[in-house]
Amino acid sequence: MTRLTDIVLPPPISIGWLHGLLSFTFALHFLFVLLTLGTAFFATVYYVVGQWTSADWLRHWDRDFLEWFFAHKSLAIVLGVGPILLMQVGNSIPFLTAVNLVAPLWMLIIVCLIGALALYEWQHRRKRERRWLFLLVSTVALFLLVYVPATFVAVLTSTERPGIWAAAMKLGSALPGPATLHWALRLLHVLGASVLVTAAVHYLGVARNEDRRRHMLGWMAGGLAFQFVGGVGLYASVRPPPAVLPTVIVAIGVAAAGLLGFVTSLWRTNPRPARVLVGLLLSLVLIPMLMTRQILQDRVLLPLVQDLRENAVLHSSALAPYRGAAQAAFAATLAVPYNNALAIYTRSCSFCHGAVGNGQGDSAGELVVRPENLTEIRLTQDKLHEILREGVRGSAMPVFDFYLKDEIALLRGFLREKVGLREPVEVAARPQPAAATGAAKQLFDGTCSVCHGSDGRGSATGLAFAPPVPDLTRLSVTPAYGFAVVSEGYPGTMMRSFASEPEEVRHAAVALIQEFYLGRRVPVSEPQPDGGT
Amino acid sequence: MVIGTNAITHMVIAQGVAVGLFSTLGLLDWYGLRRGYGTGDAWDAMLKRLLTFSAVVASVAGAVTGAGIWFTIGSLAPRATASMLRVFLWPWFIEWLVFVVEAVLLIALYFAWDWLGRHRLMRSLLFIAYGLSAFFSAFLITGIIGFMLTVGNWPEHPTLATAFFNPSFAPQLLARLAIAGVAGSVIGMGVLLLPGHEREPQAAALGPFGAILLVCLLVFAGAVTWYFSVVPDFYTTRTVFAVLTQHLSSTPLLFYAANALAALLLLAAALLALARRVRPSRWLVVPGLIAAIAFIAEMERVREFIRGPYLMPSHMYVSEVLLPERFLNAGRGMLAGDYWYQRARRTPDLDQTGVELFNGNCATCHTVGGINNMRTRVAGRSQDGIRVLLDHTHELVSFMPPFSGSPKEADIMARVLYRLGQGQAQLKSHSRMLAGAP
Repeated sequence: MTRLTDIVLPPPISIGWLHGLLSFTFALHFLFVLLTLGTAFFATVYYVVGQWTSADWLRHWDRDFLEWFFAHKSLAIVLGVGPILLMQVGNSIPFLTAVNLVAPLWMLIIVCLIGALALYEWQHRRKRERRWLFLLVSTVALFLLVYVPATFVAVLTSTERPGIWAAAMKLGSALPGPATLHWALRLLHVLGASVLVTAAVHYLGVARNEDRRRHMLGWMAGGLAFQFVGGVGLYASVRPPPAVLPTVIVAIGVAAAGLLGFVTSLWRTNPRPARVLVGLLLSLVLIPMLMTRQILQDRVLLPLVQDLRENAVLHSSALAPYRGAAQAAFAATLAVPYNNALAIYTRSCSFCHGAVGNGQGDSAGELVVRPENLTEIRLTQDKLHEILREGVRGSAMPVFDFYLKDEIALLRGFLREKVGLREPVEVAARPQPAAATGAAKQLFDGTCSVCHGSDGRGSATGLAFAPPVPDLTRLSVTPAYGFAVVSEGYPGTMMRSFASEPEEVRHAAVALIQEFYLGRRVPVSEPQPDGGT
Repeated sequence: MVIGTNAITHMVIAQGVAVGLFSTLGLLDWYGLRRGYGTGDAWDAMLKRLLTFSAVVASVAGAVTGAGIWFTIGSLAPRATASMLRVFLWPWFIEWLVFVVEAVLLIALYFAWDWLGRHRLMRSLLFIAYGLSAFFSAFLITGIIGFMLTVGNWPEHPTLATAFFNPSFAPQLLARLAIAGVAGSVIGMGVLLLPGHEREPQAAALGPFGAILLVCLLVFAGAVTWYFSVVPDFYTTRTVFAVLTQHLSSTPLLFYAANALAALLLLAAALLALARRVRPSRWLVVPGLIAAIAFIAEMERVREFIRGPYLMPSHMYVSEVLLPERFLNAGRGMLAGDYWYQRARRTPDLDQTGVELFNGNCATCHTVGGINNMRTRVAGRSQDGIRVLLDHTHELVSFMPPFSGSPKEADIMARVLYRLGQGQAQLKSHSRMLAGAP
């Protein structure tokens, strides 16, 4: 929920309208959720019953339930999108925070739901009866299906308890402590309601047979008792304890439920007026229950959402002074597509290597290993490609693998033609005196080769440095630049100054080093062992 | 990655099955009616098989992945989700209503098929209604996701209309409908050509399928060209990279070859079907379907990827930092505005702070040890080098947002990245939110 506290765009709807719409769409969605869960439950139950009975009206009842399941689940899913939309607008921060606390479990809903629905499709379309396979599949399917409300209830429980977020983060679980009890009771209440409502709907209209209706009536009576006991526990687990208004509303629901229980126990046959009464009473149970749920949720969320909106206004005004600069930067960024070498070099290279490649970019001063002066470096084609693709270890030079091969080729051409990073190396106009060359040879073999290797490719010691010594057969420098490096050393690397050597020896050393690149020098002595002076 | 997988699955099903196949089914129904095929004969049985197949796929996987988009984006990009919803609540809400209508129509067609067999006009009307609502759905969603690449006048006039009817709206809608037609007709051909149907209606129906496929394919090609001419070059330059990813970036030719091959396959399928050649068409169904799915996936991938460094251009970076926030945070620091960080009671720990900054700046795209592994990106770079690169991420890589935070925070970030590269620091959190726990 990092930075979620400030969503600065104004909300497109007032809080009151939003919550009204949310309650309505949620109720619609929830009704089909209950029917989906209920039909799934009954399909399994009546499969089992049907397998061990001879009563004709009980056989194949599960297929009727599965037929209805198809419609219920489609509507439940589709209708669910509306409340999720509204929830994410109205209660963005609490809801999305709760979701984020259990992000992997939340997204697992998609997988579980697809799995469950596929298994129910299979059950519905099965060609042959294999009893144990069916039982296994339907049990797995039921578990996968119940995973969905279980997670939803957990997220809503968490959404409604901002106080537990910090603890939940620390524990890495959704619900610490007493909230878990509330979650379990709430889930049971949802599952109980699904049996009750599905039984009622099938009693009222769907069941085509008097015996089946009587069965449904029995489930309703049992469901009511279960909901009453569970509901008392659930209501007791609400923290802080609810105020008077929700308690009055919930009492109306309970009273209606009691009446419903009385009515269902009274009638054994099913005259039409009785069914109308059952339908009426059922809505009198459901509506107050859903209202209570909404009231209990809103009493926590509304003040929080109000606070967050005020916070967003504050944040928005804090951002106001920067909006102009931000839009200008946006326009400037869009104006430079990285489809040509000049743009690529200017954006990706020049802040270190400088606009003209002299290593004097704006950020050059902040680097311990200074950016290379590209105009003085001489590189073979493959070495250039290697540096661009792999970077230089121990320096700032990054790995340019976020460009296509074609773009790297464009950049190489640009470096050659415009920046002056050439392949052929210039040599000093006058040949070096023989004595100086001799001394330089001695210097190289005795000192330089410890790191650079006697063949100029780098010894194991030199290659282990960060940055490593360069491969002198593939990378060279102009005479003037080489003289500067030999004289002053290379800042940020192990290359030290050789200013104590006579000037002509230093010139001769540069010429000697260039010969590696020119391919003329042959090693004169055996490679030095690692870790020499 | 998770968003992408779910979204692409949904798009394949929504466009291919829901929009494409159902419209094709409607056309087939009309075609059968015109040819005088009666209820209960082979043609009708075939239509019923097609319908059952589509209804099951759409209701099992299509609807769930559609709703699933909300699950994934809400978890992975909460701030962007909340912001997008603030701009587009009403189109989304109307789209939801359309979605409900579609589901009801589907259920009606599915449950009342036998009754509808005796009321053919009603059946045709239901198909037309379904086709229309599917079109309307595509219309609504195009305005929303098209916005993310071409904001048009929205920054100056932040209204719903300017956001919705953004410059890429028309070409993208056309492209979506066309590719839906392509996928739908190929899937339709596949079901039609399943062995076991009678040969005569198979050959008869192939012709119209081929014609639809050909037209849709041509329209798709045109619409995509139009689309790319509307989207700024800054984005389109990265199209090839978006598809090939870093792993294949050294063989750009692959992109062109694969696209040409897919287009040729579909063209061949269309022409063979037009010629009513049952057997060769059957061979081309599966490759054609793969090609169509690949086009849909490619379209989504490109649209999602080339948008970087912005999640909502002109408003929000992919890191979910608002554009002006970058300037605000450069002064006061990113963590100064972080709700959780400010409430955390713990001894200051540079690694922990670095992880917080990583979460805020990098974690949308980078993981440690997984996809876009940050460790390999920084391995071997010097700490001062990383520090300098942090100031230039948005220039260095065109699709990376700038670092958001104060210079001091950049120092801490560089330190933790350096230590990651050296293998000295580990990120233990399984969720990017967890590191902020008090």
